[in-house]
Amino acid sequence: MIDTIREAIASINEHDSVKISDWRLVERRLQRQERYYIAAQAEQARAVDEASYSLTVYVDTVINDKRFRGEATVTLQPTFSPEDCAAKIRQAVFAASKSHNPWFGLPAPSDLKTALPVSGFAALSPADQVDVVRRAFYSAAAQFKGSARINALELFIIEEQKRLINSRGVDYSATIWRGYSEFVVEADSRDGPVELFDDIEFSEPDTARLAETIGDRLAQVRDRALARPTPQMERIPVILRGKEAETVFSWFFDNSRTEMIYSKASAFEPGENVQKASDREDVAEPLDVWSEPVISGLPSSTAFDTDGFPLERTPVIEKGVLTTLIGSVRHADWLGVPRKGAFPLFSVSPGSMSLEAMHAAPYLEPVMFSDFQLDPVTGDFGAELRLAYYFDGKKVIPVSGGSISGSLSTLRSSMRRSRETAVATLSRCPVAILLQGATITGIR
Amino acid sequence: MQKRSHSPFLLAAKPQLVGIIEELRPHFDYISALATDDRGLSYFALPGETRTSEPMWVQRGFVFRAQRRGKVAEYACAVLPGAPATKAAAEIRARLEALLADPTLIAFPQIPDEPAVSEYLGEIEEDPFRADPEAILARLTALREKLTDGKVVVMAQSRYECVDVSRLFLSPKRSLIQSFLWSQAYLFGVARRGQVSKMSYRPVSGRKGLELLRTLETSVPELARELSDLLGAQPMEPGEYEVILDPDMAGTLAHEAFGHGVETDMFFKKRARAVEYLGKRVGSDLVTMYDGAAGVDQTGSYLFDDEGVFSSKTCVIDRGIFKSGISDTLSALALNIPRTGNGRREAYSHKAYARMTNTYFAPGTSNLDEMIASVKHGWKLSQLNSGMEDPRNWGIQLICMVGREIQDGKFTGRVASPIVCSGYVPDVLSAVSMVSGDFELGGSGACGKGHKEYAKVSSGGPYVKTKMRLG
Repeated sequence: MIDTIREAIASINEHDSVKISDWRLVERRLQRQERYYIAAQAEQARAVDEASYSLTVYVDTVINDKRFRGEATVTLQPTFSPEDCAAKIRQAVFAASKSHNPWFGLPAPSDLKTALPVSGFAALSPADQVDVVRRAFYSAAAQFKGSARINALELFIIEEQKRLINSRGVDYSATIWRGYSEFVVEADSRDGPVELFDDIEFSEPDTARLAETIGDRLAQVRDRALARPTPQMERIPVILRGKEAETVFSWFFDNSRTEMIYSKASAFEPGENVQKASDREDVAEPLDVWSEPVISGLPSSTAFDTDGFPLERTPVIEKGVLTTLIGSVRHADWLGVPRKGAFPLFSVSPGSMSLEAMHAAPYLEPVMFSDFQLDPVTGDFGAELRLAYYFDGKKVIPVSGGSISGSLSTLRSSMRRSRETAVATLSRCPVAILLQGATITGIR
Repeated sequence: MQKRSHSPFLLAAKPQLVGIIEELRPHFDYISALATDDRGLSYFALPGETRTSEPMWVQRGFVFRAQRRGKVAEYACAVLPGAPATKAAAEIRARLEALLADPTLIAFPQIPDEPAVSEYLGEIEEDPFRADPEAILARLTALREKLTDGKVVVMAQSRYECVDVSRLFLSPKRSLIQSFLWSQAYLFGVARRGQVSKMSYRPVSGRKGLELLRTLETSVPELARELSDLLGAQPMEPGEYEVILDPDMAGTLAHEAFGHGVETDMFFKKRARAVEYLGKRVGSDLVTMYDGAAGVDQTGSYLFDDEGVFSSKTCVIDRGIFKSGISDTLSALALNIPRTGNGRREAYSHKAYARMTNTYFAPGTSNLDEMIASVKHGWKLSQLNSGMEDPRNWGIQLICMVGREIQDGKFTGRVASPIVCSGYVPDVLSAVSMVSGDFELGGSGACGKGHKEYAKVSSGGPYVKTKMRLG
């Protein structure tokens, strides 16, 4: 298929009046094992073989002696004939010729600076890949002896062969193992069963991490069975854990991207302290954020970005100050800053406060929301509480219902981070943050 | 109006698929194939750049479903594994046999295969596949430039995308084909004062073509005023309030609060509290709610679902009484309930689940002015940001971007943003005290099952007055 696409591009450039100045092609071939468990039985078994080819063509134009570049991306299906390919690429060339964006160059070939580790899944048969993960989850559930249990579990093991090539000679390949599971755990309460829902991404058959993830939720759903309605409370600190803590950190990371800053969607400015809205504010704890190409266990690890730019670990925010912009090479060029690449992953430095210290005074600690939302532009956040722990100064009480809300635009300077860190979904970051001033809406 | 046409790829693949089905038929108790060829276009106008690409919904491939002794397996592929049909069938059979060997598989009742031959072709006014990309990008650029004033609105972006859906379903006794186009477009704006940013948007959608952009072009002045108001927004004072939900918010309440909880695969997993309320009261007399790919024309409409079952219109709640769930094939068979044509896939490569289509409250008899005048102290809520379901425990979360305060039947001018709306589903539905005669459906978003499996849906209906906790 790649040869067919190359030939179509060459033919267009030989015969057509509008030429392709540059191009980038991403081939993805996936093999996926899927199981859908209800309790311990499978509703159905599925296997999937997917393939796709995403071609971006760039067409240069000169207007008043100034060079512009337009682009269009199309999907070329593996069932396309050579004629289908050529027709689709011609459509893309025509569309690209109608865009006149500032010119930028595609990355040239370069040695990759990072290597992806070989996943332990590669040594297992398809049946064993599913089985080792299934056993990790169900063995953890068995420890609860029925006091909490798995209601449903979906399991996906994906092997992806990815290749990125461009007209400048870049030719990178990677094998990516992506495991994913969504699970629902339940326990009995006086009013009937209650449940919690969660998901996890993984790139290794790391049975300890899988068992710990579902084990934490099984313990929490037992607490949800005992939860009281969230009381009305004065503004006490809110401790955000796990994925929600990561979402808060990702707001800093994402607002440091070249595309966000170029479009003015981000209010961050290089050289400024991004932990405060004005010079009058004091920052409780300076923040360090690094962009990361590879974090062990995370399937989004990659040695090159979507433009084909090699990635290398880079500091982004140092002691609260935005020092380096990361993001797409085109926006880096347009902003006139060095190219660093678009990283999917990041890490955050540990804080100075232990979890134990965070738990020493009254707090509300949500551990499961309906759907925690943090607007990447405004920093506004909010969600309904499915389970939280409320410490009134004397005892810890599981509570449910009500909501929290607030905005990082005003709360970021007082934020404290835990000393303890862990791998989450897109980062290695502190496992908890403590926020002062979030609005808590109770239900009694 | 221009009629769509079926995918030439699907029409060309049909004889081979018929041959494969015939080859596989003797080896399984049930066999079917779904073939998809959905193409699309996306146009973006961003600050300083324009781009053309394709929506996430673009797909082409095949999924084969087999059943033997009740157990069900599926094999999905982008390319048929070889030709002629005998060779492809042998490979597909081997894959399905391996999957059916899983000892943990549940046995379902026999999947029916009732005879049917049918087709559907949608119609649109302006065909985006024949339009000049430069003209579309110019319209989108003009939209975003009109909204960006550089003083209050610091950035704006606009987007148009369309998907030309083509689906072919074949089984030994069924041959169904449908092709239609849907479009959606957005205009987003960001207002900023110092480090405070606020965002809002206007969406449009429908089984329409480029004619959709005309509606978006009329929305710019109102969106500009709203963004300016949002810069003065205050946090919501937590509490329970009377609320008037606009049709988009009301529709999402229907979708999230009750729709997900009546997807019958949730019944099968014993994850839905609603099953205990069948035939019982779940809302006030003013609450009547429907879901259906048939009966209305929006982005959730189709002739047949991804399991080859014809669409229908399901009355979920009739004057406050819960009447019926919406089903995929396997849960309907397991529960011995009717198949409603709600078995949907994100793509050929994904599993079919019981999913919503077009979900809405039926209109009532009040008008919006009367509803506002009736509010002692409350909020009119609009510009939905997100919603989430809790089918087992009947919590509800809606987040919206614009709340306008009403005191003694009049707007005070006070604006709050963002607002987290929550409550217990039966309390919220029982508190519905007024429903307007308006009816609007919006289908610009996508619905997930959990955190994945996106399906194109619409929701809406009238303005609805109820009580919710706001924070």
